[in-house]
Amino acid sequence: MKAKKWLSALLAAAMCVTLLAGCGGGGDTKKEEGGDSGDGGSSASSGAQELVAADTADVTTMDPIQTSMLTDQRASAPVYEALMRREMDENGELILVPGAAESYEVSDDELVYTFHLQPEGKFSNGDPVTAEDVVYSFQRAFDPNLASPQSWQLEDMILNARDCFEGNKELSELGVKAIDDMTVEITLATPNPNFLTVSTFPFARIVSKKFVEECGDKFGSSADMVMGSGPFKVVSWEPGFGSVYEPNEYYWDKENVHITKLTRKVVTEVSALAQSMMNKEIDIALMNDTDWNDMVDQTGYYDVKETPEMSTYFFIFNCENPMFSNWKVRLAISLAFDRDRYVEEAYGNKYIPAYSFEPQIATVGDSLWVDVAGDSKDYLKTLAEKYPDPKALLLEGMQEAGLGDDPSALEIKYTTLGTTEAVKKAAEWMKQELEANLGIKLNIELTETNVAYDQIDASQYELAFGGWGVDSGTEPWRLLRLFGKEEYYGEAKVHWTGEKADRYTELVTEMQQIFDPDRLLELYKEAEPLVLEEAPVTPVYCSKQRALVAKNVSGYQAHPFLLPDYIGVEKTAE
Amino acid sequence: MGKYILKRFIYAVIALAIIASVSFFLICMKPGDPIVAKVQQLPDSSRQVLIAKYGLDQPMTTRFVEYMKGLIFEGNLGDSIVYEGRTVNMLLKTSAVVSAKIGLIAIAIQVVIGVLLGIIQALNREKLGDQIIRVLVVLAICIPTFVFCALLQYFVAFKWKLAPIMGWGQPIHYVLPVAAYSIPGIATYSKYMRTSTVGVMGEDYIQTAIAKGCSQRRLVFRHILRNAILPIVTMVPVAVGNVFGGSMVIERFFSIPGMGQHYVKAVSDSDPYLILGMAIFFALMYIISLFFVDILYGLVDPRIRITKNAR
Repeated sequence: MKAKKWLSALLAAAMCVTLLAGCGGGGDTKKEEGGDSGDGGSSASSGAQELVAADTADVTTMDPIQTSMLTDQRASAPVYEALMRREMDENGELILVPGAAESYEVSDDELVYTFHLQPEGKFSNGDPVTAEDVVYSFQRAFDPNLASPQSWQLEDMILNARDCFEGNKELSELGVKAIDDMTVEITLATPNPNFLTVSTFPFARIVSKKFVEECGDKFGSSADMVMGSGPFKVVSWEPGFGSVYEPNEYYWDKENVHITKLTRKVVTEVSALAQSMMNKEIDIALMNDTDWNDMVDQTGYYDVKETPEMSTYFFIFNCENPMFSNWKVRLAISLAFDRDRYVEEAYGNKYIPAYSFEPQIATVGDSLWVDVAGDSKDYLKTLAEKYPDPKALLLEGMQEAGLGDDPSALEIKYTTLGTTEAVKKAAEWMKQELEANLGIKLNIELTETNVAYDQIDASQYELAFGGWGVDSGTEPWRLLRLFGKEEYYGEAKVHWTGEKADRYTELVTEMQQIFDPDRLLELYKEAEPLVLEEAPVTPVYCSKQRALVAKNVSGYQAHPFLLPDYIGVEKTAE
Repeated sequence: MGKYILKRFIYAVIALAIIASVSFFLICMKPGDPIVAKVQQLPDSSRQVLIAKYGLDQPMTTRFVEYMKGLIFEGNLGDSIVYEGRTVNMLLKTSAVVSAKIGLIAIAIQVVIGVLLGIIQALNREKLGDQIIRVLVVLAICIPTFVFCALLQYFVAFKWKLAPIMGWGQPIHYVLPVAAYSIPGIATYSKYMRTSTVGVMGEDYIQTAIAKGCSQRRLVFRHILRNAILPIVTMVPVAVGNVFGGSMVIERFFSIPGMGQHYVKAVSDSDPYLILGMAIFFALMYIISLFFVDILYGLVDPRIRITKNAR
């Protein structure tokens, strides 16, 4: 009986402790986070210039050279500034404007860029931004021990960058030098008109040498380990929840920073995001979910800005496999399904059907690719007219490859990129379509993304799915080059060989070395039909960005290439 | 009793060692390159640096020995690959507290309401109220948590605007997740409590107490509750051990930065040390709770203690 008495007391005590622990906790959290902006419903951003943005994935790092995922880059963008900034002009064109550098000069041979830093440029702790910080930031980007996942985009531009990145040269030999406290000189390996644009990317943004050295390898991993010279500073950051920013009071252009508090929430569940938006709790978000888009749009609270992105998704045929050794078999599969219907029925028009590798945003010189491409635009449609009966083409190809004349004997393993419900649904749509139209057998193998990449790397696939996104520029070669022999989806993975493959490689190699739009157009017009007809890979769809911005928010520039730094963004009365 | 506790402790340590070792090899043998999972467009040279940084170029046995050394001597659960610059310990420290706050409040509510409901049902056995509650209890146990989450989010937050749809940091943010967490637990505890109370009420000593003219209040709290609650006592530590695992569904629905959400991300990003660290932590919490259950059992029922000692 005594033991039972003791037990009852213990249980009662435990219950009290749990209650107290839980209730007490709420207060602590609030203090830690500097107060969240959720207030029970009506409007999260009740303060005049308080803005709430949402992201659907968690932020993993805010070290600018380590940010490879878009969410990380978007979260870091308000904190760090590059030498130059990109913004949209009135016509929607991207232009370069001063960032950490007030001005720059280019030498006559276009090899040396001299940047003059902003005299008032300061980090958020009040320390001035010096040339030494800029040199240090670029050296970090090419430090082989730090393995920045994005710096390769500049490694062929800046003198010695590749050698430094591969550990063959000292970082002091990098073509970025401090001339004096306020002047930096960047020497290029060869003249390159894209340099200034690429130098605005996250990995080229400026960090404080003193601060990074103090933080060591913890730099960028928590709110107190993040500091830059951009318009905002991070005041709190909790993984899985989000981060809160306040203006950098020392920012050189603080007159144009109007937001007094920026909250970035992580909302992984799309239903929660959509309902929060319908409740007007969020001011800015990227959301593209076919189940919810219409309902959110109907609130009339948001301006919806849809822009095509420079990213294309495609089927990859393992040409080493006897089934796909003949181009007619590959092309037959490529032509056997309706891309418009695929995107509509399997993805609810979340993407844009692709009939060539170039997204609608691609440009040649000052013109859009679609305006100047002529016959090469949507070349898959031209091919569909040329080969109106994919099944006949398939049989022809099978006979040439010695595969017999029974399409049902062609049993293809389709390795998906991911295992989500959406991927599964799309794969099943494709299976149904290809089996009905060609009589072949498609066996879906739902595969985790990284496992799928491993299988493609090791050529252990038959038919796979891949994609590539570019945020550095809109020139078609940025995507076309991928299928050159030595490139990412080159011979080692796709096994596309023969005269046409050789010619294609020559074309994409030349594209990457020249800047004359007329010549580039000629190269594109020759390369595009070559790869589409040979079909070692075939484009399926391109992605688009769907930004929702509350109508009472002005100055926000939604563009797939712009990472929001919230300069010039303002809230007006509803 | 001391010997009994020592024996339980040794068993717990052995169980944990086995779980840690098996988990390590299972997770390391999982196909898929964790570096590729982190970033796909990585040049080979950078990839090699990262592979060396996280020791992925070492043979599995070497990695195992190194990991275990760190774990045993420093309590180090390894570095997260996806969360650059963060150790698993750092992530656990923040997220376990969040999960625990929600879980512990929910358990307290579950126990209090569940026990009361159970007693009320037993005292009104087979009456209309009891019948209704029994149906509701079955429903609450059968319906998956995400359905409660969706319903609460839609009605309470979106329609009636009584709480925020999601978020974290203020007391109001606890309302919906705690409610979603509590409903199935309340049902479970009330079901056990009803059965156990009905059993106790049939005992002779209760009849004696009634015959003695014992008041209803005294009868319930002094004689029935104290005896009937014993099965619940042994259930609570296990539930407490489990709260650190968080609830993946609830945390995802309400955007709560707890362990459940990190665990899902770790698995989807193939972050091996984060998965492993969390698996070991969950196991540790579970084993500790079972250890307490064993001790409680021993205290509650001397026969267990004696039988085990006799062996």
